[in-house]
Amino acid sequence: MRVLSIDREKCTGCGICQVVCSLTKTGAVQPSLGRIQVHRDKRNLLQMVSVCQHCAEPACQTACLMEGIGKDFTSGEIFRDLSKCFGCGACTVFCPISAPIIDLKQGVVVTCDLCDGDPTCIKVCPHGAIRYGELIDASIDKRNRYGARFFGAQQEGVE
Amino acid sequence: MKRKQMTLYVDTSRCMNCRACEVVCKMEHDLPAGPRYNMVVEIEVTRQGVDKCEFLPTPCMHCGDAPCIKSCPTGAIYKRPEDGVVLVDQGKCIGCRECLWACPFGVPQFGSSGLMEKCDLCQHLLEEGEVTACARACPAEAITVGTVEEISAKVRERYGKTSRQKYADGTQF
Repeated sequence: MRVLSIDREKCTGCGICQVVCSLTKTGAVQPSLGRIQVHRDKRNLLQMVSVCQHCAEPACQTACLMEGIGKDFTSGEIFRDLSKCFGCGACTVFCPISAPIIDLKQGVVVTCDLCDGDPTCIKVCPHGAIRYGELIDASIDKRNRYGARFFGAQQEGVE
Repeated sequence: MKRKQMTLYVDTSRCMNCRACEVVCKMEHDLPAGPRYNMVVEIEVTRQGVDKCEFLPTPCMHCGDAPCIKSCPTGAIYKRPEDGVVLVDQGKCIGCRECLWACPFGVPQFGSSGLMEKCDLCQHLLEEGEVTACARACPAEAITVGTVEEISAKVRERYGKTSRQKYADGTQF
């Protein structure tokens, strides 16, 4: 199963992914409507990026009153039937990372749909912090990086 | 009250990348292609002008203050108080992968069910008083399982032996 993930060591919280996402999805620069959201903690100078993780047992699916959220069991992707959605926001409350975005103009709640397998945000990230790939590859990458740190090797020699 | 902390210790100077631990771990847990509870990492390093490869098996560290437990939104990951083993309750897990992004070692794995699974320190073997599958299979005895006190004693013993040997050979000091 391929998901979007954020490398928290590389992300600087610039928010360009949020801007470009809103531009591709709504046709206008409205960072608050980006399917990928950067949450900044200004006091501790930290940031956290939330994007739909297409969970195995999605909490949003359980929360939806209209049964408008489904999971494709072959691709693992979560899809929304926006004709059923009336924007109650229950999925936003249930989601552990608050990935669903309430679009007040249309009156619906939207999430990342992975741009049909070709996400735009990974192309614009200046630090290469967003990756779209298999979970086992992400795990192997993390393990290699830990090994490089452990042995004190040069980072560029490994990655 | 934590009485003891069980963990795995890896002696990287002994590891020779045979990957017996990976194979036997998969067999012990009956894993399909995909999830790897243990993985040997190969890193190229330059030590004193010589290029060489170093190997590091990366099982779960069973951290004292585990980031995966903090990151789990449903409270599915817990640290067992009696031996400090970090375990996951798959009934509570929703497969949101927050633990994988939080773990600095990339330990949490996701199989065909999409739920998190990880190294459980071979609970079924430890309960019978045996060692874990990876420690049993390692031909170089690079992987040791035990409480931190046992491991500390063993590492000190090994260090004492090697330093005594080096002193006798005259290679050091």
